[in-house]
Amino acid sequence: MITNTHKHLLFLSCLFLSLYIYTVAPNTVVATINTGINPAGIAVTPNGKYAYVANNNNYGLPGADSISVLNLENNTLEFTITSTTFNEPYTITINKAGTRAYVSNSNSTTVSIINLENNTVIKTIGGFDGPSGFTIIPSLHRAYVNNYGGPEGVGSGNATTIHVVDLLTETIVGPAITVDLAPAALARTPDGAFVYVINYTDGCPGNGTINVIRTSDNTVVATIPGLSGPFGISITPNGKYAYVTNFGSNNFVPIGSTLSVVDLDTNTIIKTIDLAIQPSGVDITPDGKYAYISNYNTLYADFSLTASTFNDLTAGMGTVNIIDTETHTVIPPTIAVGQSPANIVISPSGEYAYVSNYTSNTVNVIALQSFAIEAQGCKMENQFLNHTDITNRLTWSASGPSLPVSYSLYRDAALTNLIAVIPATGALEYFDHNRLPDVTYTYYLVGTNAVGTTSHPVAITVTETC
Amino acid sequence: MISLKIMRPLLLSFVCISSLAGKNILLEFNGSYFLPTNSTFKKIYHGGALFGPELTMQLFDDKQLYVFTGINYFQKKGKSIGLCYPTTVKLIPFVFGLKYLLPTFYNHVDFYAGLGFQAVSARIKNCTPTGPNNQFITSSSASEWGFGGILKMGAYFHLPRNFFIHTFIGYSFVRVGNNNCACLNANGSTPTKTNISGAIFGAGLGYRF
Repeated sequence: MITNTHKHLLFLSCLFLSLYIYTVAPNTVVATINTGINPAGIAVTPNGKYAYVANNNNYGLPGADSISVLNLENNTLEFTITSTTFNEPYTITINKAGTRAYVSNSNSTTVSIINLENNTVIKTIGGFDGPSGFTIIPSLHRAYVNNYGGPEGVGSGNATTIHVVDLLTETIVGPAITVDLAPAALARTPDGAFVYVINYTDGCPGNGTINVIRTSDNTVVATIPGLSGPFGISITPNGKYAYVTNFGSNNFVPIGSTLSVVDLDTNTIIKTIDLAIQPSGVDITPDGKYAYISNYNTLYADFSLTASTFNDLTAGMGTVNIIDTETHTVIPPTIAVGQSPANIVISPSGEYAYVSNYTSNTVNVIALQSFAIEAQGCKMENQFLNHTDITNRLTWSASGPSLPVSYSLYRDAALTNLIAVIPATGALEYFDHNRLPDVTYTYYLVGTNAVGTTSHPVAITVTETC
Repeated sequence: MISLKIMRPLLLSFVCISSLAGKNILLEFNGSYFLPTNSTFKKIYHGGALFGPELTMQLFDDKQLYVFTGINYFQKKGKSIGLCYPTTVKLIPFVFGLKYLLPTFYNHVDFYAGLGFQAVSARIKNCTPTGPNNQFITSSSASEWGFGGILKMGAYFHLPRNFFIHTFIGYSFVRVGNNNCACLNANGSTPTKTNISGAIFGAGLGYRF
């Protein structure tokens, strides 16, 4: 039985909960999730609820070749998939339907297929050579797999082929496509017409290349030179640009520290952007406005290589850079993440980025600003019979994959003088009454989305008359 | 309230003295339609009803000159121009003037033309949202006096038993000052001259003493 007292308590609880809004600044790490050994490739399910992380286990620890399943609703490790078919799993790719995941076993010749309904390996496709990338073209029911080279083949970094997999029969089809030395990763254009393969070659500056494969006949139609130990590639949603990280090497100088922007209309590098040490993973927000790049920052302590073993590697703290894809420039902030951030993936909603820290054995969750606000203001006269109320009318709109649920309006850039909190359910406007004539007012608007990520303040200066 | 306290004994004494002197006294209650000519007033409040008593008294025996006085009441709600916020205006005009009854051949009808002085009490209440989130509606009231004149013409239709019907048209010209508007002082917004002029069309029913 609910008494009036209960009702009051319930009401107060609801009121408290509705007033309590947890917010975080955009582009900050909001969670760190433990994974298996040496997390490398990450894939997020289409519904955004889970991330699958390939634990590369470069140390060769028995039984540590695994896939970590992360629950993204509470940012916890939910399950670990182990299989005898795994051999230093390096990348993982989930199909569009969210029913299958494909794991490239970089230290063998196979790709393992996981049924995502029960998280078990249901099949293995053989015939590769150190597979290290897998991109799916849904319209063709086809995947392209790059062979970096492995111990059972020509050796790591010595392969020069791409295999095509029929996803209906789950077998390799057709002959291997020959590309340049050491294909490290690949990406497809949004329309699936081309696959861009980055070739590490020898890691030396300028020696890396991109091969462009036309998927209609699986022919290399263009080669783009001038890359420096390319490591990761991502193509913008509009298909205009590819962003390629120049990792360089971790055992000789010069170490890579740049990112190349490739114009896909002309297949030329149009800009090289300076980043931090060893740019590695790269992904682009669903709206195409920003690219996020993880900087690996892990070097051999002894460059002379007299005693270079894997254990000589000294992992520094990694960072993530953000690039504005309109201007192709780095924008703040630089985000501190874990050690050796090998890869970065942005959720389908654009709300979060997930960074796999190869040495820390963690995944960092970064809250992104998943929306953009455009705001304007004008001055109007609200006329009564005996006086005129000068009113500033502020209006705005937001775009992006995860729109704000509320907006906070301030009078000052320091965001201390709050005027109003406007819910996004109503009209996106605010009237500030009884303003002084001949005074120019500036307001600062901050949006907050459902997960509590706030935007940077948008300044609105009112100069025009409505 | 003060005005009524003053007016009531004045009217009573006016009636008594004039009756004793044997002069024509006409007491009526009339209503009229006030059609504002000021565009701001018109847009905010449109027109409305104006009603109240009027007393008219012959000044000299066998002469056509009459003195008249009256009080009226007007109240109207409206919406501000621009953002349509609620506002209310109350007007109480006090009129004092002269009527000249034109000689006619008809015993039952008297036409007249008049001119008078007006003092108008105006109370304007405006509502605007204030406070965080504009969640509070603040009403600012301003009471002011305005002064002006009135031109009036009409006809008295005499009925049996000393009753009469009075029809009239007129034009009232009044401007209300704005020096005491608290809302203006508080926020510094631009003051606006309050013009409450307009035409009136009305009729009344009265008794001739």
